[in-house]
Amino acid sequence: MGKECSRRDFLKLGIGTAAVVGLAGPLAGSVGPLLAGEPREAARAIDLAVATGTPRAGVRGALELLGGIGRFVKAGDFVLLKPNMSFATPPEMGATTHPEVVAAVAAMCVDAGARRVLVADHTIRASKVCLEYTGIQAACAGLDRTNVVALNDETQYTRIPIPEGKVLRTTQIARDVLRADVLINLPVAKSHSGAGVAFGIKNLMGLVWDRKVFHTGDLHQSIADLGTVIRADLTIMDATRALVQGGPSGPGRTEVLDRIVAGTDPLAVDSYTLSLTKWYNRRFTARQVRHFVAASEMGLGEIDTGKLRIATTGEVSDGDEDQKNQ
Amino acid sequence: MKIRKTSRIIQLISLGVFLVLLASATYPLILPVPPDLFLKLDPLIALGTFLSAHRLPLGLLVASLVLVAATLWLGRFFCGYVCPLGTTLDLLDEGITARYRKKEKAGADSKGRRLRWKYYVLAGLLLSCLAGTTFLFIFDPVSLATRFYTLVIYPVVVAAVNGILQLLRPLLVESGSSLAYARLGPASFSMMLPTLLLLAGLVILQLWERRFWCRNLCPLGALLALVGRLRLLQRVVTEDCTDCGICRQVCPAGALSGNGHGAMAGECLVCRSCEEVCPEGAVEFTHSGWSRARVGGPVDVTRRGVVTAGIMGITLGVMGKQALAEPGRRRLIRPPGALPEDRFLETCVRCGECMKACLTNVLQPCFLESGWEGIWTPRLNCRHAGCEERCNVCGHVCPTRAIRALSLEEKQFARIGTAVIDRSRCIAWEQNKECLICDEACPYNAIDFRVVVNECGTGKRPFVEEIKCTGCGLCEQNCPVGGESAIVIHADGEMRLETGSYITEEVRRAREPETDRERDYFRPVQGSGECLVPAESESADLPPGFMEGE
Repeated sequence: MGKECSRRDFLKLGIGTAAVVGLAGPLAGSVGPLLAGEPREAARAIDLAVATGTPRAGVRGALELLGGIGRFVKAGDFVLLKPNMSFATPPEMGATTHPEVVAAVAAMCVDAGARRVLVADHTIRASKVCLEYTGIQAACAGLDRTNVVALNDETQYTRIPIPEGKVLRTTQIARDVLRADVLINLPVAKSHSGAGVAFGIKNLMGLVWDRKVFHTGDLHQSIADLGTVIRADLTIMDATRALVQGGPSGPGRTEVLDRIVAGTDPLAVDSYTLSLTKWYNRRFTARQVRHFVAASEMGLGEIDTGKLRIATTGEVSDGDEDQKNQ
Repeated sequence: MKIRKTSRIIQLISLGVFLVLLASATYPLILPVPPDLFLKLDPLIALGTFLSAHRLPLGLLVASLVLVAATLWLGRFFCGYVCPLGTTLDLLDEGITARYRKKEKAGADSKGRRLRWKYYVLAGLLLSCLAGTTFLFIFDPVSLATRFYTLVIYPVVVAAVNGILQLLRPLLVESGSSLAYARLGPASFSMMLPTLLLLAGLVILQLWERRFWCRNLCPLGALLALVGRLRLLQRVVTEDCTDCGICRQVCPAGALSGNGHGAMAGECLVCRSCEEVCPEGAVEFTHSGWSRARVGGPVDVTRRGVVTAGIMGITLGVMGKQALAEPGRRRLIRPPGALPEDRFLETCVRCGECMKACLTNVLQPCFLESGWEGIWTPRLNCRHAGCEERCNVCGHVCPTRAIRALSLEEKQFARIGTAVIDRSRCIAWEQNKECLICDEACPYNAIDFRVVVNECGTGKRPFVEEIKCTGCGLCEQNCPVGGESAIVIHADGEMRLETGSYITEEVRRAREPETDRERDYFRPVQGSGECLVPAESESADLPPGFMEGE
């Protein structure tokens, strides 16, 4: 438990620092791509980076807007990446995070000097087929110090209290969440037949052993409660395509959005992603999503996209390189 | 000791190959050699399948003829060198039973009389096959060995390896090895104990004599003995023989009679122990021309014995057909691609290879759920696990094609049952919970949510769209309701085809994602008194997880 507390303290410190720097920095409603080398403070001043482009280019663009991966990953860090690879479906079905997004982030972490990059999920379907069909294992195969694993074994989990939890008072979370120096959440934008949408905060349920209690209790509040104990240092939303209905497992209708949304505020990322398109053929506001509202009440982040400072890139495209990497 | 050492090495290599092939029966199949090679070589499996099901897959015929031809040349070398059960019994004998065995009395003729038992066993079991019940396969040694290593040894190995990995995990995590997350299995089988007891029985028999099973009872041994009588390889005793009788004492098969001059070709396992121990070097194994005289006399069986065995066999066959648990039999969920139930029971050799290969461990051996005749046949236990949509290995490791070797696409259409929701236990139906786990787990999108007003309010309730459902059981496995699942697979709607395709355009069309509906989350429920869509209520039409805006 000691380790867990220190991690939470670390997180709070991180949030505090970001807030101070954010206040001190200039207001930057539309910071352009940092390719030209703008000062890092500008990057810290934004809440959300939105890049348009192919998976790899989008990830690179979004992280440049945020000031580079070095802001989050230091040399020697153990980085935990949490994509959605719960289903044995190919990336075009939109139920799992695009392998190129995962591989691009993992490669950046390795380059930043991470001592280990662990790509992990508690898969819903059999782990072997999930790792295979999502393409994530193959995409990360060539990377140094990177492992793609399924956490499908109860011995990989440890029970922790949720002091601020309203309905979920305790849960078993993956031990690697406590071991990791940095947690980067890599959700995919998709609809969800229970939670409405499954974005970043919802994606962290993949680091929990017993997910059945989430459904037998109040699902929306439980997701928010979990968010108080597992908080990603960075959320990089794969909205290159969105499963706008038929989620979480698909098959359903997918829409190409070519967008990567990244930020340190998980609720801000989720709320913005919701606004990118129609879900179930309807426009929704963030305040209509029950677990967003619950998360907002728990203080997990900013639900009102109007208050966010958002930096966007235009089409960032270096398709040649993407093709090389495939 | 040279010869015996050599034969032991060959035995161990054979067992090693058998185990490597068995281990390779898993998802994904990667070896170019069929994992069920030993089972395919077994002529008793080919013969039994032919007698009971009147069909014989070509691969089985060709492979078993190879062994028959080799036996015509070398005699029962299979029993002496290759049989995984024989080697296992030898190893266990040396480890356990040999030291408790009474000294074998030289010249005890009673032993010789037991040799004929196996012919009665063979005759009885073959006749029971004709009567329609394949108890034969329970006692086929290759099937028995495959079953033993799958249902008893495999789970033990998995538990041991996982235990060690867990102990080492702190070290492995620090080293950054992916072994820290590796885990074998899942492998647990409900019939582990009965399988172990059967083998233990064969080991205990060795208290009387070495290889008691192989020489006196094994039906495959009997079949190979009948073929091996004609073998080309001959045991020759030269004039140097002093009638000391040592060779008779060491023969593990009891194949030497009298002074050890004549060997019963059908009993001899070609282990060549006699050649090794002969102080005079008077024993040789050579190829000599075939002659009628060498075949020896008629098979040593009595008419009374054969008739008794035949009557018992037919009785056994008819008894197996007595439906011990007929309702249970109708309830069973069989693997995708399993032949129609009667054909399946006639063809399945109870080897357990499919259960070894099963990715999710959903395939479990039956006890008496499908009657006496169904013991050790595979069934799905869907509360334990579901059948993975992307896996089709069970049919590809089945030696007799009792489970058809389906392509992945065919398998995804081969319906093995239908999910049925027990509304009185479902927490979405009965407690208005926003539970969607059955939908989330369903790879076929066969769970549909519709707004239904009932006693506990207005809510989104799960429905099974039967046409899309394959009965894979992932919903039953994952249902969060305690104890019995609130969604259960029933055999209703199962497709059991002997030939032809499971794919229908109707199902294919039904499975196409519906993308053209304007407000496409809910569909009106028609007809039923208790299921209503409140058309006037806007909020009821919101997808789950959303609420009205301010």
